[in-house]
Amino acid sequence: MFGIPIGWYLTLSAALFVLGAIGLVLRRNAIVMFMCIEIMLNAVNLTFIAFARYHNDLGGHLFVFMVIAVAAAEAGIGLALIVNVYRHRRSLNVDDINLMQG
Amino acid sequence: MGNPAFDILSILPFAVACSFGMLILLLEVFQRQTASRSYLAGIAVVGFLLTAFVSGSFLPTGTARATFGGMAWIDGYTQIFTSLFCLAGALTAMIAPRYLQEHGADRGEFYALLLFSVAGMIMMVAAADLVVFFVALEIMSIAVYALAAYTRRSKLSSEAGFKYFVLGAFASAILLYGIALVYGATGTTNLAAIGQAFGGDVARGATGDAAAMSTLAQNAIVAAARGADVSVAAVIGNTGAGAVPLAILGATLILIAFSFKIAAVPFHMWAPDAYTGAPTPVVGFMAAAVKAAGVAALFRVVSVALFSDSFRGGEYGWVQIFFALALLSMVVGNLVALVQGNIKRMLAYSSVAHAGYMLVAFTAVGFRGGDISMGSGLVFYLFAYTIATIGAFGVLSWLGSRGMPCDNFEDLDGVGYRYPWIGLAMSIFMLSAAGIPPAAGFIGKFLVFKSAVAASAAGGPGSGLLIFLVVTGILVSVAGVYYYLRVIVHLYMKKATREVPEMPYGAARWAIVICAVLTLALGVLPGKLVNSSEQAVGQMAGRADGVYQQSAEAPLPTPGGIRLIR
Repeated sequence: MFGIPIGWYLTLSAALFVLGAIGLVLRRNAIVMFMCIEIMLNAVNLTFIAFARYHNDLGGHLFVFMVIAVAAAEAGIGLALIVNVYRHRRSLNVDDINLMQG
Repeated sequence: MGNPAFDILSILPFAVACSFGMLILLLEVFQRQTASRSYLAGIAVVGFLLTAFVSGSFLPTGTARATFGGMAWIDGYTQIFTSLFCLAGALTAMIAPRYLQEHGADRGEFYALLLFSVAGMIMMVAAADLVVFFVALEIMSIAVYALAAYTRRSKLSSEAGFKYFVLGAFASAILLYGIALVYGATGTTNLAAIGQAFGGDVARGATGDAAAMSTLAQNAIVAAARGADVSVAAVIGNTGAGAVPLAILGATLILIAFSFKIAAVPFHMWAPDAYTGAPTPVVGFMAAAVKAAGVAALFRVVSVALFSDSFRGGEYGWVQIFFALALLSMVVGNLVALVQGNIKRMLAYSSVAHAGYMLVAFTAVGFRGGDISMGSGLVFYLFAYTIATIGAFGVLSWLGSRGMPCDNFEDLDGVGYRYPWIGLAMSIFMLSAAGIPPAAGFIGKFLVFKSAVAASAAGGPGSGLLIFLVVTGILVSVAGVYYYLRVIVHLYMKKATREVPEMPYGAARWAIVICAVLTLALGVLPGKLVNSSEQAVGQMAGRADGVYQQSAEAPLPTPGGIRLIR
């Protein structure tokens, strides 16, 4: 790992993942929430790469490609859904998206 | 490597479903804007039937085979669920056309998305490796996100789709992080290999048996020899001791993500909103097929990878987690459903309660040390639940596509007299969901609770808790009878408050009839399906304890590519 212990990679990716999760809960803008999900996915990618290097195993690298591909597909559908919501409400604040409750 | 001919044959069901989806997309392009798309629904139904047919007849039954170098398993478990998902998809395709026409969303993409999501479900249940499992889960989920927001001119539907998407993507991220940590702890994403690592290395690491040289320790030594930081090897790898917290955290995150997907309390908050807002035929599909796929895949993942040796209970407490999820889901789902005024919302909470009943079977399996034959009731339960749920939402969409929305209990007033057969079918579905004989739901609930009682009969610590779970389950399901009967009261004992326009019945009626007949047939003559479910669970490949060999008729052929660990 070029001298940098795996623990540092894991700490960084765990921090990124938690930041993404906190952002998803706290931020109110739909696009920013979506970006937080992407941060979480990329934190996972970093974890996979670190472990793949550590185990000297290609499976982790392969998984990362799958995650990237799926994240792209998810971005496509997610942005379409956000645009659709925006057309109805003229707002991206998720606190306004409250037709259903209880 | 494996046999290429069999590899191609084994994904034929998946390929057929995908091809029909693409065929429908192509046909849609050549449609005039105003032309009716009903015949595309017919093509979708043919696609589903062909998928089920291919899965049932082209693949050898009674055997388990690994395909594509151990990436997927084709066994009785995959086949029985393929037929269930195809049935659910075909029924939804029959129910949807008139509803979509009435709501100005009559586009062929609907049926294509249905086929794609069913293809994802099939692959998800067949998955033998977490990579395949993850990709299949996303194929299913992404199609269903789009379906939930399908009537895009409706505010409610777009909101439902958005909420479902955010929570679903969040769950996917959690699932991935869990998989990454498990991969870090075990060095593999293959389910059977993870099961072996959890059963052997991790457990030994936990008990401090340093003499047991694990693959992790070997990896650590290799890493050290390659010039890696040896202190890091001590952190993660040596004798697996450091891998234990990683593995536990990872597996817990995977379970949380699954709880989101199957809407188990406390991860159910998206379900009521998504079910209320999404188009009614889609809600039936989401509540039935998507949940069935999640539960079926969870059962495979848990049975093969997690419930091995000491990792399954006691020491690491999987049983306790399932116990808590089951108890909370049953109690919260049933009690909150009592006070709902919107039928779709009531059925959403009822589906949360059903997730709780399903998790009782997981608890029983875990309690009996991963004896998965305890889980055969689960397969039957999923059939009964899927058919009755699709039927109930089919009735709601059929009524809702007659110019009046059918969302609240009052909208059902007098329907039982005006449309006697539809009223009778709805009553059958409600009785099945409530678990009252002779409907299929009764047998399902009976089998699940019976397995829990049988598991506790073996004694041991915690068997009292299992009995407590069963008693609580029975008590809250009695409370649940209230809101199911409320539907029947509105059907037959209230005066209709408004005139409903007369419209042709269409294919939706046949779907409802099929659901009603199947619900009664499975309730009166459950024997054949009970046998098939026992066989399917017994034939689940990749198990560590040889359950497969005892119950299979044919010997297990040696698969190419990977070793099936027995």
